[in-house]
Amino acid sequence: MKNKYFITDLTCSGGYSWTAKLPDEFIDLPKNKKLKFHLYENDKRVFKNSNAMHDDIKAIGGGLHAYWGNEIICLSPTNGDNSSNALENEYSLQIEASTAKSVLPFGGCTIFDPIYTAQHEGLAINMHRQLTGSNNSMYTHTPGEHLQSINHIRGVHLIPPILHGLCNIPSDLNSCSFTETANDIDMLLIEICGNVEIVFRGTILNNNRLSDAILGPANLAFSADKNNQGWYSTAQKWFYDGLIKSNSERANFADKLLEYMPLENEGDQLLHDIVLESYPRKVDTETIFHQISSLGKIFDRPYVLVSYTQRYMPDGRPLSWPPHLHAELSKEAAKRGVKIFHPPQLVMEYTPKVALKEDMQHYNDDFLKIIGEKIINFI
Amino acid sequence: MNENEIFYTVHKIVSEVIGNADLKIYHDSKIFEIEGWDSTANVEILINLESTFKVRFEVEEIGGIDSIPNLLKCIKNKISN
Repeated sequence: MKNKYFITDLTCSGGYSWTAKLPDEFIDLPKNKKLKFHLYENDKRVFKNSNAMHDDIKAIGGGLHAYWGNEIICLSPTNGDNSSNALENEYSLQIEASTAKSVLPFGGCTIFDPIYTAQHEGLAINMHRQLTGSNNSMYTHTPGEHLQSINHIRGVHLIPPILHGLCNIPSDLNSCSFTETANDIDMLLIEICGNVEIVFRGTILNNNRLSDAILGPANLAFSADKNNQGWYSTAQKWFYDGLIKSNSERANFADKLLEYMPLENEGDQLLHDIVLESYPRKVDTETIFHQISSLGKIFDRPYVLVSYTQRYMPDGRPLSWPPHLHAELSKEAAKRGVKIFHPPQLVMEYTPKVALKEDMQHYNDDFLKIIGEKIINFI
Repeated sequence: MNENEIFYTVHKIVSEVIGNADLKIYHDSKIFEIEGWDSTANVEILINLESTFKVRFEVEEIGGIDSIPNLLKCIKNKISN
């Protein structure tokens, strides 16, 4: 199903960009075929973003590329300056038409990393990253957060700029046409990392970014001076017990935590407000599936779920958190006919030593391609 | 070993792992709501429980251990078999 073509006639076209002519066989491809580009220099590399803006390719480089109509491929082989080094390097380009699926992942690194690796290894999958307008992956954890980000990108519900960092909204989000860009997507892959949303003034904050912002400084202070344990332990109590576990003492933890936190500028004031006003919202299974269904409707694309495992036991047994979350989601998915890809079966099969990093949570680099390939087979 | 003895041992193990001697755990507590019992502590607690009671929680059982009564019931069933 793959047509390959090798071209060496590349021309500098300003900035970091190069252009080449598209061979006839790649013009007017059937809808189920997509173009993939492999750059050959001394090594083989796969380009990152397709359909990038021409100006971005020239200015940013870094693997952005695009093709328009039937004539031009604009690409950025390297972040070197073409005008100064073009004659010193020789590049060639392999164009390939494949039936690779273009998937849009929602979730964290346990879904993005396998897909990215599979694509990088040349497997039949493309990770759609155009919606974020940057090379960054937009990690989100709960279906509510997934929806919030997409609605922000669509312009339906804008997240206040001051909270972008705490919601993992890229700072260089461009104003791409949502409909046009989303048309490239074949399927959604949705990971559900939890069922508690942390809400501040109507916006769901990303757990990791909030933890970085509030627990990070406390952790640093504790590392520098063990006498600062009070700040650290209070921040932990506020975040894990007060917010995640919805402990009734949250307001007291917040008051105590504020005594430790600096208040010298607007950024500090925002963090103080967040500590005082944020609250947890536990999302029930029915709502989770309603949110997932809404995502599918927005894109008008099929979707599959990828189960999330918070931790693994040393022998590879998966632990969901909260403990019953995976079982509940699986039951509801079966009832609704939604497919779930369940990575723990692979972790057990390949053994945790091969599959997992020391934290017993993230996948080993060598395992990413394996799991990526299995996801491709699954979808 | 009766249920109270199991409860006492569970309480002791959880308190030690979490590092809180005054930890409040009740016979009807939900695990997710117990202060300090997070996903990291959960691994260590389960390992310690398995080692102390000489039992093994199966994958299908682990998801069901979401409260103290369920945990006590699971351990009691295993040690009595």
